[in-house]
Amino acid sequence: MKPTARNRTLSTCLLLLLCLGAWVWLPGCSTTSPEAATYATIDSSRVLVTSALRAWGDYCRSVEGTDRRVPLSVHLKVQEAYSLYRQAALAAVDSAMAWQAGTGPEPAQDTGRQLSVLAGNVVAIIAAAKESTQ
Amino acid sequence: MNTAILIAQLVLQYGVPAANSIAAIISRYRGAEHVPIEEWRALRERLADLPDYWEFVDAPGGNVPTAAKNPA
Repeated sequence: MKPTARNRTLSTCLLLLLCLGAWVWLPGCSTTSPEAATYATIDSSRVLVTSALRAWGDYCRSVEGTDRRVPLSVHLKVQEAYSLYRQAALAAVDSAMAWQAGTGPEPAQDTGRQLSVLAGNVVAIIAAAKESTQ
Repeated sequence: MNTAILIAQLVLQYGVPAANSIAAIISRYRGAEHVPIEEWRALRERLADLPDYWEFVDAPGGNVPTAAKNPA
């Protein structure tokens, strides 16, 4: 298959995500501290979730007024996943700040992984919802 | 892997800017030992400023009925 610009961009995005996963989750892969890895994961997931929701918003507007209109139940599902992600991300940052200020315990090692799962949920629910309304 | 493909497909819709932002974040913190408190504060602000869900899906004129946003 001839590589297209779209395929190349897809490969780049996949590579970036795989690198981020390896960098954050595989111990010994880098000298990055758990704190910096958690920070990078939270910020990257924010970019990812925001991009996914913008794309979803464009899609919802494009099918508005047609028979493929997104049902309220689907909106509520995505809203819930987004809300869970947002709360967890804020809690993770608060916890890291409290630890730095000496007023809280060290944040859990798998905070970044948990947030990635929540961000992935938002994206997966959107993808499934988009497919079911197409 | 399936999720990674779905994620990449969605990133594709706003493509390069999102991918560039993620790449910049990764390269900036690679090898870092400490994140200053100011940067945590700035990240907290960015997260707190994330729009409400309905702001993403609603058209400027409002295509989602208010009742739908606040179901009883």
